[in-house]
This record gives sequence, structure tokens and C-alpha cells, in this order.
Amino acid sequence: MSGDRSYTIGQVTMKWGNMTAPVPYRSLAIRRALQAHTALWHEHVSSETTSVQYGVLFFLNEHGELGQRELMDLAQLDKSSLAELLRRMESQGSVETRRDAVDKRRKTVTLTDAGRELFEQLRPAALQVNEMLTGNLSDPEKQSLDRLLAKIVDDGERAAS
Amino acid sequence: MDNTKLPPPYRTPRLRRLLHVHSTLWYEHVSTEITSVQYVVLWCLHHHGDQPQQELLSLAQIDKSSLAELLRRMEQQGSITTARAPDDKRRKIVSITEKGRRIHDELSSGADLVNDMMTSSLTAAELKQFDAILEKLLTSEAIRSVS
Repeated sequence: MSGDRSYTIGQVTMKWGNMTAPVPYRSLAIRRALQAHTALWHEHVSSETTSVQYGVLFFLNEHGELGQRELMDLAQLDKSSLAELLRRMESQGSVETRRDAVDKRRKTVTLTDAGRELFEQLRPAALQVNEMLTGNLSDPEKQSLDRLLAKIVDDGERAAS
Repeated sequence: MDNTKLPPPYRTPRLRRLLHVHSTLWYEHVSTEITSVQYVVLWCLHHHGDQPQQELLSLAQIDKSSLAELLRRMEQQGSITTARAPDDKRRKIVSITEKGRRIHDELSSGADLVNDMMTSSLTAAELKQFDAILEKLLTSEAIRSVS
């Protein structure tokens, strides 16, 4: 193991136990953070409702009725993922979709009572897991993380599209 | 929408989008056949030598549940081989093949490019800060407990 080797790109040094292994690819760290979040979610929040579904519940609870387009932007999902997600959630009985009475092309989504209840039930644990994920960071560090992530993602999507 | 004022439950959507961006760039600039996870396995074996399966898992930050399938596919590709350790039959040792090394060498400049592209909107100072925060985040008790 060459723990003292230095790499010029993306040096996120991974540590476990007493070993240090620099693998110079940032996507690893990001993937690992997401995997950890999924595992924590499964353990502390729900094994049936995913965090992505919870996100949809959250925004519908916050905003009431939403157009699919708006929901897509808020929940940061692409069109096909959202469509699939809504289909599943509708069959679970947590959301309802309908055509807008005025603009027939527009589909709107609302929470059902069961969906609202599910949201209230999951919320405390969802907040707890979010805090657990960044439990090591100070408030300024959390703010920096959010700011830098926003900058990377928004620009990255422009580059990738 | 003011992105910095997202409510607390929403750090993960952005992490997820970031990985999605990474896959798109990878597909476009590096390879449509070798995934970035497979590449990282090759990278680790190329730079750190043969690895027991368990060490490789940690080194490449692979999800435990996907390791067996990943190694099986890579063995089929002919880029790695696995063998039982002579001193402990329960341990599997993973090695890179000549073909694996060739794949690594072919892809490495593209992989480095994509790694840089992904964060090209940050200044050098911001990038340093980002890496430091990520590194700190990953060492939390909660994350260790599930990794």
C-alpha cells in the first residue's frame, strides 16, 4: 500500500481502520455517500417508501397541488423517472393525478389523505437520517457543501446535456 | 428556485443528480462498455497490486451486495482473475490480467478528464474545500456503521 503517494486530481483520501488508500476519483465518494444514505434510510425510516418517493410526498405536502413539470423541477427528477414513480405511488394510494380542467395537456398531482398520513409518519426519521449523513460537519461546512454541490450539479448538467 | 434554501430532506437528490451527470459524461467520453465502477476496480489492482476481495471492496468503495456480480462479469471480460489464497482457502485474491491493464491504460485519460469535467465549475480553492468536506462526511460514525 502506498499511502503517501500523491495524486493531482480529485484527491479524496479514503480511510478505514488504520489504512489509507487514495483513489483519485470523486465519483467513489459520492456513490458511497448515497449508498450510506440508502442504508440509513432503510434502517431508520422505511423499507417500503424510498427517499425519492418521500421527496415527492414532501413537496406535495408543502405546495398542495403541483403540475408534473413543477414537481419534476422541485424533486429533481427526469420525466420518465417521475412518470414511473407517480404510477407506483398512485397504485399505493398516496397520490392522485388528474388532467387540469383548463389546460388539458397539463397533468396535476395531489396528495391523498393516506399520502399525507404517510408523510407525517416518515418525516421525523427522514430528518434524522439527513442529519446523520452530515453529522460530522459543522453548520458552515454543511452550507458550503450545499453551495458547492449546487454549483457542480447545475453546471455539470449543462455540460452533459 | 433558490437552491441554497432547499429544506433539509433534500441533499440526496443533488448527490443523485451528480452521479447521473457523471454516468452521462462517462458514457460519452470514456466507455460504453466498461463502467466507472469496473474501471475503479482495475485502477485499484493496477496501482495497489493483487487484493483480497475484502480489501478490494473497501478500496474501491464497492457496495457489498454488488461485489460478487461485478467480479463475475469482469472475470468473464477477461480483465481480472480470482483465486483462493493458498494459506486461507476462504479468502479470494483478485488480480488484474494483461488485458485488464490494457483496458486501464486506454481509459485512464478519459476517466481523469471526466473527473475534472464534473467539477470544472469550481475554483481550485472550492474544489479543495469540496473534497475536504466529502472526506469528513464519509468518516462520520453513522456512515461507518453502514459501510
